[in-house]
Amino acid sequence: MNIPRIAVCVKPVPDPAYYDKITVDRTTKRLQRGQAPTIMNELDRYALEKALQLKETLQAEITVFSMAPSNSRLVLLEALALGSDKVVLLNDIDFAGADTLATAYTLARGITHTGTFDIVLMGSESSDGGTEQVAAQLGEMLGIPRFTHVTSVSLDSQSGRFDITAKHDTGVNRYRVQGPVLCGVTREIATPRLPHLRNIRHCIEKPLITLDSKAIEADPQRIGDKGSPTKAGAIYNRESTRQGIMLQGTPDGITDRILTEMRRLGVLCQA
Amino acid sequence: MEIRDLSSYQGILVFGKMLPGGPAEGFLELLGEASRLKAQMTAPVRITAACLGSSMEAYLAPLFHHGADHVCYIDDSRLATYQPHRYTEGLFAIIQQVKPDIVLACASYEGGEVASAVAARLKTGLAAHSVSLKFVDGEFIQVVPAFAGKIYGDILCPDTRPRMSTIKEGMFQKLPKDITHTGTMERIKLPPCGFDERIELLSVEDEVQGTEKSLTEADFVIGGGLGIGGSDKWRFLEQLAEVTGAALGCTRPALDQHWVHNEKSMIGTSGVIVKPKLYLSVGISGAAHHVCGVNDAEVTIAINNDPNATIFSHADFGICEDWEKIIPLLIDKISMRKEG
Repeated sequence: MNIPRIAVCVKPVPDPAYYDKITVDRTTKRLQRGQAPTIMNELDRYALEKALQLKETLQAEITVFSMAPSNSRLVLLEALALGSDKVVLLNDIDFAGADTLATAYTLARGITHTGTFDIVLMGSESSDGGTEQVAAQLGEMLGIPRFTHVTSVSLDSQSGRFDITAKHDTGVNRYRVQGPVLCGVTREIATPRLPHLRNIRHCIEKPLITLDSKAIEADPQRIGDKGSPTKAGAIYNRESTRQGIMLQGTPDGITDRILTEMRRLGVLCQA
Repeated sequence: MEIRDLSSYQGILVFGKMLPGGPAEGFLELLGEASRLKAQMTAPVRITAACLGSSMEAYLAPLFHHGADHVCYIDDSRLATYQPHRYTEGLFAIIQQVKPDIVLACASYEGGEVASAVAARLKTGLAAHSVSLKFVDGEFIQVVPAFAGKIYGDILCPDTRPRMSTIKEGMFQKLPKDITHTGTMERIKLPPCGFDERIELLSVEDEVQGTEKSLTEADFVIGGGLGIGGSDKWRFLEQLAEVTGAALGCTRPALDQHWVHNEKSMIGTSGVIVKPKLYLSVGISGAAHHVCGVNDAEVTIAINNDPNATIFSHADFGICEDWEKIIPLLIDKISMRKEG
């Protein structure tokens, strides 16, 4: 088998540490991101790590794909600093408002336009939308076998077959698959590394290519808001309806208070 | 977008998991929600349960007893074990046959994966992890969480059919069993599965089901977080769960520390959603995805020694104290009470 070619899909997302500060403005009804910085989606980082490990053992070539606004460049530079060979940024005003279907279509166009790949890796879900849909949908659009909630992947370079372990509802299945294949991964796949100083210096010399909808020959009816069968309606905050009473006093008094509450709710006599 | 004759898509189709002895609980819950939607719709609506599996014909009756009017199923030895490409072909074939207006699928590993692939093939909309489904002025609205449940949003699917949704187990309630409710059965064939020659199933490992009390069913749930501080200390929570009969869950950090080994113990929107009468959180800071997973608890009590912990604004009762001063004492009092 030739040098394996790996595609990794990366989504820049608002930092989950700031989710508590994200709200919907009561008057404008628009999302206030609460100054959340943009970072690489956590599970995509795990997918990239797996790609880097395959590269180390098999001299694979890694291309990172991302459909994102141009202000996400830092996340993509980080992907290069971690050791990817090339980044393809899919960026076009017409990509805006894409739901999972339009996103999967756009990524599929970008990947197909760029070349052929033996394996496509990505996180099984994103931390912001959390739909867990794009991996399965992208596999479907690329017309290749795809697995989600994948906990391990290895490649036998002789046969070009992948050994894949994936979760299902009651356990895990192990498969041997002739590539190309797509894997949506979980945290079990690998432990992400930090960028190496040498790679940080070199990352700006690596190719970061921006492609728009024309470049990838996308059907204008299938991208962005226009290509999205789901439409977003109203958004709102989940209001806390809790009483927020702080219990003061000695541990003895506090534990008695807890017991009273347990008794009142009828959960004390179960054992 | 492709224009379709929307009126040719009718009824509600529910796709859930068939376990060896019958339908999974989540399957029946979705049939319950489908029945509630049916009651809101003006035209006559048929509820179809879609089943994929092998040798399961004898176990389909509960689907009727919990709201299905029709069962469309594929019984095939190739579906004995879940494989994504085969189940995708199966659900796709059933949807082509039934042409439903609305599809509800369990947001499990399998249900979510298959529904996503099928929605891509149908080029239609799929709302993820819906928490509420309703009709407003004739418009079908699916409410979904974003940012780990911090924000909720309405999703509409105006131009394509079917309108699809995935729903987590525990979100809706099943109907009381009605053995007089019956319906029709329709068996169809599994189409050829394109990737069969490229995919070899090497092994199937089913997890042994734990004997511990199920988080989704317990009246009293205890959740432990990073603040517990060590696996040796985790046993205090186990002990409290034991003496009270509570179910014990955890947060992502506690799982990452390997104090807990079962990923299905993680409480939150990305794990298990719980609805107990009482939820007691211990050493949990209150990340959005966690607190949104306990939104439907009747009463919540939080113990954390950080006065600024977010969890306190999501608790009915907050206790700003070292948990080690509270939990062992609580265990003692309950144990003494039982002995005495």
